[in-house]
Amino acid sequence: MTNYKSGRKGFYRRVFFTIIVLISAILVSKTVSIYGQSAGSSPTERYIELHARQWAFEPNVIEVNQGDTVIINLVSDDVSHGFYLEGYNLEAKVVLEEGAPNSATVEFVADKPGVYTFRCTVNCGPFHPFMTGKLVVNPPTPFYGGMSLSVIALAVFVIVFFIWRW
Amino acid sequence: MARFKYDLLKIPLLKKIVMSRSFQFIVIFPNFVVFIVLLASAFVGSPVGNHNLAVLVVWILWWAALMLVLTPLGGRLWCMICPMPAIGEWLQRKTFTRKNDKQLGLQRNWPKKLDNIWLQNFAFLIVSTFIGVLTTRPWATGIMLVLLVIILPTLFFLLFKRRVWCRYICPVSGFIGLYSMVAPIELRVKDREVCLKHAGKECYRGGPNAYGCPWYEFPQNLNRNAYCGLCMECVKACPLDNIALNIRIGGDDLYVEPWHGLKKKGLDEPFKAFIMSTLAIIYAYIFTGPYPWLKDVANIFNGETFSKNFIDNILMETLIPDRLLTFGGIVWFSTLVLMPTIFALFTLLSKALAGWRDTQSFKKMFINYSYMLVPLSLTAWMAFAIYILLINGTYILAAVSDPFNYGWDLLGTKHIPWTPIATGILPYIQGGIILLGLIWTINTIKNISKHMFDTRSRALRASLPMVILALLYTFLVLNIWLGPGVVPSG
Repeated sequence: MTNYKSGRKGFYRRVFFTIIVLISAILVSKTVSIYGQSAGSSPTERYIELHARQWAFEPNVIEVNQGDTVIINLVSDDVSHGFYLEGYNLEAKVVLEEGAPNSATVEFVADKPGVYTFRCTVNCGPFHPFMTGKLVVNPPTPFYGGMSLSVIALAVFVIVFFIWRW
Repeated sequence: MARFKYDLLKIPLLKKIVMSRSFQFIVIFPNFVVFIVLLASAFVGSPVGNHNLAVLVVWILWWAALMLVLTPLGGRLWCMICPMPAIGEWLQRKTFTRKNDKQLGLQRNWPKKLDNIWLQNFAFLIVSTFIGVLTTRPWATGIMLVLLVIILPTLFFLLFKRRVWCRYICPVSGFIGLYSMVAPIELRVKDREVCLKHAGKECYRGGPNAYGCPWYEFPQNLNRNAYCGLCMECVKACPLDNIALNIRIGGDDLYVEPWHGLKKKGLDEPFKAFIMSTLAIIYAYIFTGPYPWLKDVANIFNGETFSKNFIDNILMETLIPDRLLTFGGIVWFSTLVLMPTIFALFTLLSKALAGWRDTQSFKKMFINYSYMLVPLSLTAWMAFAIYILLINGTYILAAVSDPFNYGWDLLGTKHIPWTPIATGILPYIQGGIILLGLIWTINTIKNISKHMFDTRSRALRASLPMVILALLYTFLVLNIWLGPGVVPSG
């Protein structure tokens, strides 16, 4: 069995913990700022005109705060398109037929924090499956939760694997 | 402490099945039939990608099955049942099942210089360059199937000995081999000493009832899963009953030198790891990312509508060279230059922390640490696979009822609407998988370090940059799947 000699024990620990503290500090400050912004603002009505074209939405990232009432007016710039919001299971369609309107509206309260993909639901051409955008409902708890858990997991399992179970 | 292993071939029924010369034919043939159906569906089925059975099965069901179940749990289990080599191997052997010593074809030896997986790396990059077209156009998937299942494998089987196609060229085989190294299943010899003393070497040369290893592996030297195709020829060939198919907990495939040190690790496998870890991100950006320009350049053909038959669909499309060059450039540059450069910088840092003198060479550290990307990228692919399966899986139910666009409703599922599943909890499932990947990777880094350095202190210091790199990669993948997919502003 290899005889592992103990080296400069303190050095690597200091480096590791300094990096972890730095990453955690950046993460905490970003989280606090996002949570602060969303906590400081009272729920409001957000109207978004969402333009759809083959094969993109404009804007492609929509940012609202938890509790906001969101009204999305889907407008097609070329062919028929649809809108489906994952997580909220909301759908709207603009089917370009004679006499049919070139827009459709969906209204909802953004009560679930997180980041949700929205996508086209009408076959609008070959790249239709890739026509997506993102709705950010601040604070995006799952994302920051995942990042924080990663740092915690990293710290814990580095200790477990590298120090305790070496 | 000895790791848990259980030889599945101790189960008499399983041993009997595996020992049968019909075994391989029986497990491949159903898949071959499915392939024929998919091929027909690609050309005569719905011209719309997300209603075409071939596109849906290949790019959603098969891909998800590979990344979520077959490879992480079964290693090269897919290779055991893969229909790609079927036609070529049946022709080469001039039989479906029997042992035939007089084989068809030129029976050339594979060049020694190409005894690596570089061709597989390039083959996968070629497929990836066209991924936007392949996943959206049934005709493109059809052409790919004809090339990868009929023409190219058959050509290689008739030119060269054994399964050169599977071992050195197949674009799928490369990454399955890489990820199979973490699978809880392994084919190994029971007692290496028995092999070393036995002169017959039927497992490699072939025996009266079995072919020599079609994958050019020498079972007595097997210590990694990477290139064992689980075809079971060696089990039939061994006169000493010295081959085991073990279920295992853990495994050191990622840390050891191939063939018990008789072979050296090259750069081909690390580059496969760079390719897979980078493409897990690029594919995710194309499929769900918020950057329209990336989707535009990935769509390297200019078709904007669908026609009823596939010939019209091909004729109405023209290649857009600018997009091909841009997207190809992104794929090839990011995988072969950008990711390896980032990894090299972290390796330099690792070497600096471990001490410039009296440590492992930079090249050895670069190669050995690259295997940390195996669990890290596998879990990134699992997060990708579970997303496309749950979001788009119901398309398959509808398409399977009318695979050839004849208006059938075979299973009564044709009118099932597209219904994304579990979108509320999907990010949490993905987050869990990604987090598990990070933990798994930290353990892998520790084991790689432990195998490389003689002092604990040096191993720990060398590990630090790699652990940080794993964390940054995890952040990036989390940002794609749980975050906005862009660098947060403000």
